[in-house]
Amino acid sequence: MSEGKVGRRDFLKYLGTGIGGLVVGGALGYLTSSYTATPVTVAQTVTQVIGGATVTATTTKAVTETKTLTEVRTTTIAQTVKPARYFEGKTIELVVPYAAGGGYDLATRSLASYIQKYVKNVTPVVINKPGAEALLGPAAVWNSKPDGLTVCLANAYGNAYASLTKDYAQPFTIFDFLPLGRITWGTEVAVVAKDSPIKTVEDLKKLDRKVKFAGLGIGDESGISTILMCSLLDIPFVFVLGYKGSGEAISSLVRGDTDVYLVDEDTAYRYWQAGSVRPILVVYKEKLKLFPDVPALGELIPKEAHRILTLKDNIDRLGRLLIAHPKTPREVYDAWQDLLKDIFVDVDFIEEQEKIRSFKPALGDKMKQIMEEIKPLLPEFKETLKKVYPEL
Amino acid sequence: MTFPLFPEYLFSLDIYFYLLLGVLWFYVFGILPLVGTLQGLVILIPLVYRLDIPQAFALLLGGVAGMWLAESTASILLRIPGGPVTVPLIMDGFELTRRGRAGLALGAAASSTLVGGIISPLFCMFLLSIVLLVLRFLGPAEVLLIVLWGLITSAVTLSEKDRRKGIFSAFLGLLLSTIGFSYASQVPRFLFGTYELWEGIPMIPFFMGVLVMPEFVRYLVRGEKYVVKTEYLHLTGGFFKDFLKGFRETFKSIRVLLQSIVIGIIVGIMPGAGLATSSFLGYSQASLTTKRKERLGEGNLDGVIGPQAAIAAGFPGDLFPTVTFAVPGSASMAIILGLLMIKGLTPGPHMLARQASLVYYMYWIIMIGCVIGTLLSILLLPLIAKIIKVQVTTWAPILIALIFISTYIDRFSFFDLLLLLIFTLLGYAMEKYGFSTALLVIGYVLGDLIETQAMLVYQLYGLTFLLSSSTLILVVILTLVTVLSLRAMSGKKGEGS
Repeated sequence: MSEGKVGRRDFLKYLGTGIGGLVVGGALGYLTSSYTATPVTVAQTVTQVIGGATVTATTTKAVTETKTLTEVRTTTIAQTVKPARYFEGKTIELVVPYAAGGGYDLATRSLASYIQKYVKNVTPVVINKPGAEALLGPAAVWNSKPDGLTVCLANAYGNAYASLTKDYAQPFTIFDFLPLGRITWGTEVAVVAKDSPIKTVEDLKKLDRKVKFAGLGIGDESGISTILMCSLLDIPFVFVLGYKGSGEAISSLVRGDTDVYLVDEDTAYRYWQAGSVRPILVVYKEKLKLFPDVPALGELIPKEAHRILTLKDNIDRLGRLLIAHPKTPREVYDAWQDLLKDIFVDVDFIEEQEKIRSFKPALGDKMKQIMEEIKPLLPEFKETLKKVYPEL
Repeated sequence: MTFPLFPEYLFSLDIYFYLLLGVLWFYVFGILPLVGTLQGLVILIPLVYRLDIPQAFALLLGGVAGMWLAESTASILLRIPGGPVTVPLIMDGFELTRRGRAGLALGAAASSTLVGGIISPLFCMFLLSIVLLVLRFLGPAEVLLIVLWGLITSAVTLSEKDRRKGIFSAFLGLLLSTIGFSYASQVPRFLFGTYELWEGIPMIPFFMGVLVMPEFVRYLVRGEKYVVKTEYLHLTGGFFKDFLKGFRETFKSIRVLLQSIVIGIIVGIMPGAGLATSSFLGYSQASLTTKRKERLGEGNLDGVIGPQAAIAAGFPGDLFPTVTFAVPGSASMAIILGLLMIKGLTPGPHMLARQASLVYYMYWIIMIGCVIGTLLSILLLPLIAKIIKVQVTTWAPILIALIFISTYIDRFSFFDLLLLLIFTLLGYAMEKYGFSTALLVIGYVLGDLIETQAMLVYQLYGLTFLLSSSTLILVVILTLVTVLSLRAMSGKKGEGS
């Protein structure tokens, strides 16, 4: 065999080193898909209203600093921290329906570290499954074993809106899953460039042309809020679609390419604080705490038009929802509820979540109730939207 | 608004500890094939929670800025890119390795990184003072024109051997980029009954399949034991001498170097364009401007200098829309932006006005990180380059296993493994029958951007966009560059004949 040519023995080497490669690669894959954060424990008694029920949790280790919650409310149910025994020694797959680094990813990784804080010997693994407008994440849960060990922090309200406007050929909708708990929810805010001549909603009506709304797609929460807002306020409008994120859409406002963009309240607040945009309307029945001087859509429309707005508000309340397989056994569901009750009142967890988005938790039973209320009303919502925007 | 030239944060020692930590951390992720910036950033998330803002910048921005030479090393030595950004490096960089001249390619990459990484932050700091003007000039119409120009020049210059096959390859890449749901037209296209293709063909199985895996098949078919062709094995001895020569050679291609830096900065600043686009356009313009006798794709050093300088210059450019309007240009920058927001920092006009020294500090730290990271890479290169003297049979199976694993864990999808096999067959067949996989990849990468921008331009201006003043200026500049370059190329050919 000449120098530089491959022989049979070399193929045995291929096999041996290939197995080595699988081991190394597996370790690397595990490292990049999850991390183990050092649990941070504090001694503090926290009370928090979670989905209607008020829960108190008391941790036992020493505190070194005093932290206050923005909203500490009265106690009606007292509960002590218990480890969720069902999860001990098990691996929990936490699926994120978006790529690493975004808000959903950060919120899930934070949740993973607090699952470790409250359960001994548990291995939470964060798995990113981006794609199909955040439907691949729920699909992974749908195709998993119904043991409650594969869960997903779904964009539940986005998924609900998308199911109204697109056919994904999926065997499920977001309403078919078992809700474990919600981390946050929010509504949309209409923003214009800071230097835009448009200062109020009235200015939109005075334009001698159709108002240009930036958007990612028609069927998402921003698109549907735009349709709703313009139909209720009788504003002639046109979509400019194809922006690949709220950042790009907002830069189009700043450049003067588009006039208005409807973005979730937390993002709107950040860009407003950064000096890039000015909020002109909140797509909600009443004013928001974040924008006390900005009018709400509910204040500008007649009472009889409130029904459709209420329907939208209810869908928005699905928010960022932790979901499990619909056939998850009752005792596993209860174990999740125990665990989330502990985590949702943990002061450090709340602080971390607040940095990502306003923390507005709710437990499974409350979310089930919301879902049951919304589901039968969806056809009416879709029909109303179609009437005002047939292209939908 | 006044900007401090040397922000006070630079004079704090702990910053340099975190900078060094970041450089070392991202060096590992840069030098390892198949993993890159994204993976490095994701693992750092818990640590960033615990750092001050200047420390977090030093760790993240300094670290990433220092990794570009390391990131390109695997592309040049083994034809394995760490991500789409370094794909253009495999075309000429790896070809030089095949010919026993890895040192030459890495030397040129090192000096291009240093020059790009130093000039670009300085230029960006100047641009901060005219931020609105810059952003207004670079809208969807301008992005569309520049990217179209890049695609056309690539298709023309890289298909010299067989024009029809070259153009077919680029066209096929464009067609593949149309798979998936079109958000602009709200139409699902070519999904083949699976929602796995909803967001288009995923990057990793495509790149690995088309560019990397066929190379392993070829090793087997050709029965070669080393990366370097047998007849060039004797050349691999003088690595360091070659490295120094390559380092100097960059300065003989001063036009390619400077044009790539300008392209890197401009494309980096464009919201949504991304570093991979900078890199591909750097390669395209090198193909147009090169005066070296080798063809692009056949071991032309300018095919290394162009993309490498554009990458190093593109990263500071990429930061520009992120800090000025919180619009990240790439996935890595989106993560950095998210982490900064967690630290309570909101980029935007107010930050420019009220925390100008912090913004200036970010650019300084990028420049220092780039210099330290590149020097570290240079020091370790002789050690790393020894891989080309190791038999393919030793490391190829590990890498093949890693390719399969990294393809799977990207979306935890078996469907992506199927795509990897399909694209491996496509890539091998295309190379075997003389089609250009380079142009296929360029068409695929730029296709999505072209379509998105074209749809936006059409919705916003119709065809009247061609009459806007900034577009006209850009058309004139691009036409002049192209005509002068083609004249230079035809002159060179005349001399040659």
